[in-house]
Amino acid sequence: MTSAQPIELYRKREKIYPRAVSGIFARFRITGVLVLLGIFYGLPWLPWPMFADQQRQAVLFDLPNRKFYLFEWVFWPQDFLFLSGLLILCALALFFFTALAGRLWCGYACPQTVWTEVFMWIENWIEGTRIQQIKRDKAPMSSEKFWRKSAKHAVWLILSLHTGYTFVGYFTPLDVLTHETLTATLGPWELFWILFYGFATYGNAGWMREQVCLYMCPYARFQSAMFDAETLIISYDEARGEPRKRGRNANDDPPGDCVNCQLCVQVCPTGIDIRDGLQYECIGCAACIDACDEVMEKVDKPKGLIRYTTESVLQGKPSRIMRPRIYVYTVLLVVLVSVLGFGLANRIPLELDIIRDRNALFREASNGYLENVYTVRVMNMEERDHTYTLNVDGELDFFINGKNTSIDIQVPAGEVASRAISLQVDPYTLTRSNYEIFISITSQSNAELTRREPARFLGPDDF
Amino acid sequence: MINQQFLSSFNLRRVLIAILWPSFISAGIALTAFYVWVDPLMIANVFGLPITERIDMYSISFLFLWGQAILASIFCLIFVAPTHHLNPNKRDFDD
Repeated sequence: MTSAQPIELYRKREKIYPRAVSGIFARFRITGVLVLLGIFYGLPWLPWPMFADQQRQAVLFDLPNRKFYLFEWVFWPQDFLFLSGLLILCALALFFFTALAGRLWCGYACPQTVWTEVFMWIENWIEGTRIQQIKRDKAPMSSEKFWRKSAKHAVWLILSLHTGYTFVGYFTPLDVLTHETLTATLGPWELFWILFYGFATYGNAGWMREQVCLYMCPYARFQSAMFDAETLIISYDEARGEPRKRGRNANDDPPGDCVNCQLCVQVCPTGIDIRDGLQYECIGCAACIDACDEVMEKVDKPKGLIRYTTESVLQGKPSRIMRPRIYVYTVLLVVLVSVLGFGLANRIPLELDIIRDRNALFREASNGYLENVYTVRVMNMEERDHTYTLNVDGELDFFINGKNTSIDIQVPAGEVASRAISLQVDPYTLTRSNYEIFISITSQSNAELTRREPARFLGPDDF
Repeated sequence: MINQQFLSSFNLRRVLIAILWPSFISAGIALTAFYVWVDPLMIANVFGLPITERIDMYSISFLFLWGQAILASIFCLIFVAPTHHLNPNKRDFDD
């Protein structure tokens, strides 16, 4: 390091100013944005059951109590299988849609796209059109530039904080959170996560934008593995468009349909030129289709110079969108949805664990009977109290905790109860030292709530 | 420490992303996978931490795991950068 000249430690990023666009795909995206954000901001405020006195938040991931509330269901860590199933389902659906029509997820549903879109609405509302923004950014600081920039960041920050607040509302009941906010008694971690998530929203949607897709998104890197020649992708029809017209006096003969207006480049949120072909930066937002169609209409040419089409079609081959790959994904999706649906419909919100006493295999009780001791753990995963009847069946006649043939176990809503139970049998009925027995519990108010678990009853070797 | 030529081929945001983001994801996955099976309060108890709220334990664990993974990302960046600036006479195979 001998030179005194300043060293540029990092390369500069060039800001992209996407031009606002209107058209059918823009309308799809706006609808998507409004619906998705409506769900995100609205869902935690939904009470459940909707018309009842005793209500709770319909969707609440109650980490402190390790329970996930989802409308009618309450999931426990024991239901992890459902979560894994759901994640596999999401991955499969992503494969399916990507194979069918490219990056539909990225263009319309990804949170990064959705929030960036809203942040750009705010930007356009306060800072004006693309040209005005570029001009203002190049100009020196003025009072007008200052207030517009400040206003934009202020609105962005308010929206971001509200987003962080809503996000935390999925984990801490919103009524509690609102009360704590109004009385300034927020817990340190609640405040931390509101600020953290708010900052992430502000940073990602306000500053990072397309760089999230380019540098942070793993899906962008491997989506091409799901593409084939029959995938609907946004492409420029080179055969029709080239040679492009250059300038007013273009005398290429015969000129293609592309008037080289650069609008497809200006509207692109990732700053690429779709005419260079399919690129990993393309998030499939179809803004270039909308822009180009508008121009084609103006110059009296058929629409669709840039359109959703397949590689096969562009090469003049017949289109074959319904292909084995799509069938396989469809079958897998249907099977998985059925299995998950069946599992959910037949889920029994009750768990029974039986743990043998580790200290003594067996012992002789004072009445001369042979006794084994167990701990039973009953998990009532329903949101109401239950009294369960515990029974034991096997080859022997058992007495439970004395002279009973069954006992009652009361477990309050959403709680776990542990009970020690002793099983006694007449030693003269034993013919071997090891018996398989079954301990079952059944709710007294709902006979469908039942669990039956195997256990071992042990006796002496020399009976 | 890190070859400047190597760093200057990226922008600062990209370097920060490479350090902060993969570690964030890994920490999230590790946290979820671990606490599905283990009650956070049990861990607090084992280490004798004065923590009574699970949410505190989740948060602290996450930040701890994230920090660990950030460390791994930084090492990764250091080792991936070419080293010929440390000894100009000896060239790496991959520089």
